[in-house]
Amino acid sequence: MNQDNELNKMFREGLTEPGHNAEYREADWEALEQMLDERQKKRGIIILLPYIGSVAAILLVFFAWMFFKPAATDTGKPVIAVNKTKAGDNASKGAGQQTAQVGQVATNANTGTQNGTASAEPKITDTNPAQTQNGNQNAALVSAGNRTAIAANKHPHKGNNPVAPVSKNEPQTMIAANKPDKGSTEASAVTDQSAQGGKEVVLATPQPDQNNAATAFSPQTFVMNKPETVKGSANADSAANKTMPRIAKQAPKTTVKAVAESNTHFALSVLAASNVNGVGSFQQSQFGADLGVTISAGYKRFTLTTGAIYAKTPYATDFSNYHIKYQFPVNPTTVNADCRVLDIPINLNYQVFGNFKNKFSVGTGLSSYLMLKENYTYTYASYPGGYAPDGYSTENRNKHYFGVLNFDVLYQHRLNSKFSLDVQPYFKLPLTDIGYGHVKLQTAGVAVGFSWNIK
Amino acid sequence: MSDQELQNIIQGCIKQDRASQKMLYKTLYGFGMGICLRYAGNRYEAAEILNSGFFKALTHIKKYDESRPFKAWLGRIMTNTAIDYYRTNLKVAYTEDIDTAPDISVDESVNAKLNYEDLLALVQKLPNAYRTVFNLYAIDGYSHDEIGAMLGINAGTSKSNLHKARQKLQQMIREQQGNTGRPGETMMIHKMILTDTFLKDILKR
Repeated sequence: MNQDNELNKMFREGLTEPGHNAEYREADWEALEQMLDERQKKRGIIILLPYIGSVAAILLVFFAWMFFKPAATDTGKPVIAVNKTKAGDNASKGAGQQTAQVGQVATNANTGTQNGTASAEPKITDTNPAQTQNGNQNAALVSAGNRTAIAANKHPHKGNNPVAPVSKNEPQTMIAANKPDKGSTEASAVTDQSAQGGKEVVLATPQPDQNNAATAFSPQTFVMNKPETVKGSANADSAANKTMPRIAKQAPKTTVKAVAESNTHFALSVLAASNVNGVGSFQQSQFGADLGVTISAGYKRFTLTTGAIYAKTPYATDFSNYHIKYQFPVNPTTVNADCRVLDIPINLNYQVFGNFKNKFSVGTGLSSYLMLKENYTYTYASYPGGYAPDGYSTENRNKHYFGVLNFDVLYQHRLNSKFSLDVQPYFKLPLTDIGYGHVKLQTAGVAVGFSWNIK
Repeated sequence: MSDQELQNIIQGCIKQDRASQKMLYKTLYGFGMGICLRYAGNRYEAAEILNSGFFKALTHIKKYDESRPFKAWLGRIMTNTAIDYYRTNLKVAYTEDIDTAPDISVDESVNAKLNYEDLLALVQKLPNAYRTVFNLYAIDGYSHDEIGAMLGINAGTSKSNLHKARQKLQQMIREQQGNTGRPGETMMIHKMILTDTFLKDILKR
């Protein structure tokens, strides 16, 4: 144990002073400096990641909404809904001995216009139309001679009893024009005996509710082509010999395509801008430039815009407007700044004028400034002597979330159905002190760009 | 450099001022390298460990507690960085427990006067696993439990590796003591003879 301690002591004491083995080497520092520089670059990307992610999320939501939003409908437009049910569901045995074997199809016609005008004049052409009789809720219309019954059942689903009490001795054909659910058109059968003569017998005239206008069924949809017999008839034989008119199908295929006039619009814009920057005023203004991409989503006259704009923002100001904690040995007279800023605006515009070609809108909103690079150069009235900093540089240090108030006027000239030319004068007013120098930096400029009107 | 000057440099490093960072690096280069050389197999690896350690220190310098000595904080970082550097190799070597380790009896006492270069050469000759435990225990003063926790091994394995590290060191020192002259010179001469002999053998073939 003692030997071990001696050994430990020998190495512990002997290895404390590395001597020339640990002499400083500049190459080692350069290697470390390279590591630090690379980290700084990665750090810059990491800092921007939340903002890049936010913009991506906005784009994602926008495209998701654009592609998956439900189709808009306009109730002010005429719409025809055709509801077909088998008349057999509605026809049941009559109270008496008769069973009405109703024609194949009954049609619910949900039609109408705002004026309430609608007509349906189905013609039934056959030599043996069945007779009809009126029931309680069934309008059975009978033609002269051979009768064909068309039952307009107001409540087909409630009792399934659109039974036309038909005379015992006669076969019948019944067309049940079922009234669908509430609000749908009441179809009443009208007999136009004088006009129709013996063979063309029945007019079914739906009574549309308001907002419903359409043809109940096409005049030529009734085709009687198949005789039927009526059970329980006392004169079954004779009845069987008669041709039972049968409604093959009523297929009012008239469909008005719903035309949805969308009030939403989306656009992707690329813009470039020239601007002037000043602190407090534009007396010492300097010219800068912007380049960016924005995306807009609008509803009716309102448009929400966001994006990312890279801005070169130089300015000059008196040192009195420049506020930092560092105590200068001798204060500079002026400060010249050259900043690179990522501007993330969120603006709301209202269209005050617009026709097919030209649109004017005014807008306001807030911008977040991410100060990517800030270079400051100090100018002294005279050489101060001793140490006085010439300037200061920093990167990714200052961020001003919603720290700038935006005003803009946007003129859009439509080039074609997809693209527009944009001209946008704007003014940016600081709500907070901007940058390392905590200055009231304001910007005015004109942006010119192109918009791709996605929708 | 006074403590106040060091604090000023540290403040500059907190602001990520590159000049301050370089100043700190230059100031503590020797201190850091002294640690890294002990844990490393050679100077090249030591420089890599040193820069990795300084990189960690400079990028996490805000976590430094100013109430404690900066050197101790930096030294701990260097040690941990060295352990991380060899961790893969260490895991492979740390398999033998003290109970199963063969005991090599050493009767002769080690009473050599070795300079820094000799001692460093001896330590650097040790396998990574033995060298690390020897550094941690014999020089940096950690307990076997602490070493076990740091390296992810049990205390018994740490003891075993320390034991074997000592045996190897003693063996190497005895070999040097068997020669005349300064130990360092003997080692160098011995290496040269070996090299020359080896070359002669090669040339004869």
